Parts: sequence; structure tokens; C-alpha cells
Amino acid sequence: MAHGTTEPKLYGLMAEFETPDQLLEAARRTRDAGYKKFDCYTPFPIHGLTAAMGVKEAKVPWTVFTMGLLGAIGAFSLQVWTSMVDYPLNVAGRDLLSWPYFIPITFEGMVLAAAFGAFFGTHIYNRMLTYYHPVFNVPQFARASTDRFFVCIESKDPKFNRDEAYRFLQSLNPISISEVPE
Amino acid sequence: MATTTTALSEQEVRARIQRGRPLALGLGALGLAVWASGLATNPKLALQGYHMAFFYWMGLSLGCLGFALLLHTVRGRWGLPLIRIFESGALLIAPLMAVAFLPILYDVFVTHSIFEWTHKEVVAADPVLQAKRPWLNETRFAIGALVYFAVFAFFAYRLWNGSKQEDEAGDPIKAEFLSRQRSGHAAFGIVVFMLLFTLAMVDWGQSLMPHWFSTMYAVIMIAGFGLNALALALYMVLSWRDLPLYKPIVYHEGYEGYRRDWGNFMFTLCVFWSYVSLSQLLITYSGNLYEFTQFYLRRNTGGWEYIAYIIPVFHFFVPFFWFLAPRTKWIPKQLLVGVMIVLAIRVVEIFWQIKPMWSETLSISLYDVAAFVGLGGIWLYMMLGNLLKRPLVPKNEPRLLETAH
Repeated sequence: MAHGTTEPKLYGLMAEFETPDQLLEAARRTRDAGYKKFDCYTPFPIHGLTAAMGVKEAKVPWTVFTMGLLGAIGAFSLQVWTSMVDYPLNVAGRDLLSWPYFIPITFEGMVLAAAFGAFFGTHIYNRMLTYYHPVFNVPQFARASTDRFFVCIESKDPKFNRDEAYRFLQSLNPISISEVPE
Repeated sequence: MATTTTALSEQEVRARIQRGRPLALGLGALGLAVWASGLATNPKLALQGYHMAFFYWMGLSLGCLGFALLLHTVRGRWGLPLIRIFESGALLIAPLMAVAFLPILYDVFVTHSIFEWTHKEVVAADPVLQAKRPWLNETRFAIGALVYFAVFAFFAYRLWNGSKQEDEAGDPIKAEFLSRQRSGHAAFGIVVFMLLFTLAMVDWGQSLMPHWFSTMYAVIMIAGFGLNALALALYMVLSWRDLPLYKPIVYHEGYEGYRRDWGNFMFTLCVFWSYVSLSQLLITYSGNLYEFTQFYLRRNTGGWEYIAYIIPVFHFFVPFFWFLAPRTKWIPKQLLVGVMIVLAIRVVEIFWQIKPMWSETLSISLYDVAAFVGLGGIWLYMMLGNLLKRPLVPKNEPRLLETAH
């Protein structure tokens, strides 16, 4: 730290585990203990982890769905507007509202908007393009991308109390518990 | 292990099938009796209704054969609980549907109430139909049907016997060998099946309106009847979800659960059917030539338009959102409701496809219903009978209940 005299703010307490099963158990018990602001870090996706953490329904599918619906409605309306209101054109005597012609564009509009929803939704909800994250201040955390599993209870949690959280994490029998400086 | 438990726990399902069969037979007999009375009073209407019923149940048998070929080729785990149902349905191509075809053949040669092109005086006055005579003539029609039935039945029996050998093999290595061998036959079968299916649909469906033609027709039909066959199989399995045999299958947990794949497949086929149906409409609409538009003109006037509005709603929009939802694929009962919607709209769709060939205004006769129920009752009776002849799910198949991890 540049200013050695001031103690860095505490981001949270992090416990390290050896197996996915221990992590699942830890996540479940952390949730049951009433902590809301905590996260799990794993080298690979673990089946059932989101359920164990008590994460509610994922937001990305709904974003994609809504965006797709809006894209379809938007593309269809655009065509209706251009061909019926803005520049009505008689094409071989067909109706101005020649909806079969509009379907391919409607479909493409839906795909485009839904893809944007997926791309930006993933980025926004996962807080991607985060250039600094406090968990990397813990040296052990380097192994989160190879063979270790971590639970971090954040100090933002209303229930967070350093000593209590420490005792709680200890009760989960981790390999190590580290303080994560902000 | 799956191999040992299935034989023990099948009893309840078998009892359920045994109870259902007489009902199907009774309905079938009743329907055919009513239809036979129609044959005496109004043979033209009765034969037309019969052709519609034949088209639906033959299409469903072919959908079953298509799925059986597909599943034996790709050997997907998701199809293992359904495959005996498809094989049992495909087996009905011969003799049941071949016998059921005889009245149609009789009509083509003698009474001429189904196909316009069988009327000598109509063809004589029509240069277009004369030009189509090399394909649309009675002898070729009969030979064609003989070939279709022979080849379809050959593949249906081949798959049936092959998987029977596998059930009886006992030795897992031999079973695996037989399964792989069958996969090769089935892959070849898919190619032959699709070629002949196209021709069969030209003969039995398209030629009802002999001036009209569409290269999309067979594709729409195979998508629709494939969906139909899958919906029927899922209806059976999901209805039996609380019986010991199917309970662990239907409620199989985990990301790779069966019902997720089933729901996705229903979704895919609904969307594919919609895609090809819309393509046909879009191309017809763009071309705007009478020989193509007459198909839709007939189906968009005289009351047929109301059915034309219902079909996209229940064949596309409702299933699209229904099967898109992850919840549907998680709750078996909700999946079952979706499957029932599809089963219902399939009948309406075939009615809308076939009946306007003869009738300019929206109409349904008692004989349409009687023939449909009659043939359908017999079809179900025999299909369930075939199902009872074998273990209900593949034996010697370790993948059936293996867990996701």
C-alpha cells in the first residue's frame, strides 16, 4: 500500500475449498446463514451451484426474450409504416399490408435484437469489462482458475461482521480463510 | 441397473395398455360401422372422408417410421424411452395401412370419387392433365403404391427385427454391435424413405388438386407428421409418468433430463413446420400465378379462412411460446398440455389441407369423423398390440437411466 499508515478497507472474507462438493455445501450453508452478498469462484461450471447459492432466475434469458419480441414488433411495424404510411407503393396490385413479405425481415429483426440482448445482457449482468477486482489481492486466489474453489462473503452484506463471518467460515472447514482488502 | 428393473416394473403400464385396447377397438368398430352405412347412402362423401382418414393415419405411421429411422441412425439417448412406440407405429404400414389403402385403389379404378384425374372425360378436355398423364394414371398410381408400401414396410420390419435381436442378445457387446450395424441400415433408409415419401405425398395429397403443385409439400408433411408422431409418443409416455417404468425416466433429474430434449424437439419441429409452411405461402404469394395460388384461394375463402387463422395460432404461436419456456420442459404436466395442443391442431391442419380439395365451402360430414375415428381406433388398437409384444423400453441399454455425471 502506498500509504502504509491507513488500513485498507475490507472487501470481504474468502474461504478456500478443495472440491466442488465442499463448495456446494459451503454455498448452501452460507445462503442458509442469511448472507446475501457473497459469491463463489470456480475453475469450471458446477452443476447446481446457482441453486445452492439461492440465485433467483437468470436475467439474461428474459432480456433476450424481451429484446427478441421488441425486435420482431419493431421490424414489423417499420415495414408496415414504410409501405402503408410513409411511401405507399403499389406492387403488382397487392395489398399495401402484404404481411407475408414482412415475415423474413421481422424474423431477422428479432434475431438481431435478441443477439444484442444476449451480448449486452451478458456483459452488463456479469459486470464484464471490470478491470480491477479485489479478490485478486489474495495470493491463493490464483488457483481459482485451476483447482481450487472459493466462497467470498462481502463486507457490503448487511449481516456482515468480521468476527462472526470468520467464525462462520471456519465452521465450513476450509483449507484457508483470507481477508480480501478493497 | 436399468436392464434388470425394466422387466419387473412394466406390469402397470402393460395393464394400462390392456385396458385401453378394447376401447380403441370399440371406437374403431363403431366408426367403421357408421362409415360403412355412409358407403351405402353417399359413397362419394364417404370415400372422400375415408381418404382423408387414410392420409392422416398413414402419415402418422410414416412419421413413426421416420423417427424410428432417425433414432436408430443417431442412437440418441433422448429417444430410448420412445423408440418402441415409433417402431410399433411404423410396423402398421403393412399389413394394416396397406389393407386400408385397398378402398382408395378401388375408387381410383372404379368409382372415381376421390381423384379428379381419374375421370376420363375431365382429362380428355384438359391439355394440362393430358400432359401429366404419364405420372397421373391409374396403373402407375397402383404400382407406385405397391413400391412405397413394400419399401416402407421393409425398413419398418428391418428395424423391428434388428432391435428385437438386440433385446434378446443378452450380451452387451453383441448388443452394441447390432445397434451399430442397424445404425448403418437406418442411415441408408432415411435417404430412401424421404425420396419415396415425397412421391407418396405427390400421389396421395398433391394430386387431389392436379393442376397445383408445390415442391414444399412433402417437406411440410414430413415436418408435420414427424411432429405428430413425436407428440403421440410423448403423450403416451407423459400420461404414464407416474407408473413405475416411466417415472424414473420422465422425472430424470439434471441438465440432461429427457423432458428438456423432448420439449426442445417439439419446439424445433413446430418451428420447422412453420418455416416451410410460410415459405410455401411466401413463394406462392410472390409468384402470384393461378396454378399455385388456387391452393390458397380455396383455403382462404368459403369459410376455410377461419381454420386458416386458427392453424398459425395453435401450430406456431402457442407451441412456440409454450415450448420455449424452460418451465414447460421442467414440469411434465405442462409439457403434456403442450403435446395435447399439438395433437389437436394436427388433426385440424390435415383437415384444412385435404378437405378443401373437394369442397369449396367449409363443411364436415359425419363420414369424415366416422372414417377418422374408425381407422384411428384400429390403428391405435394394433399399435398398442405391437407395443405389448416387446419390452416397452430397450433392454441391454445401459444409457437409458445413466446419470448426467
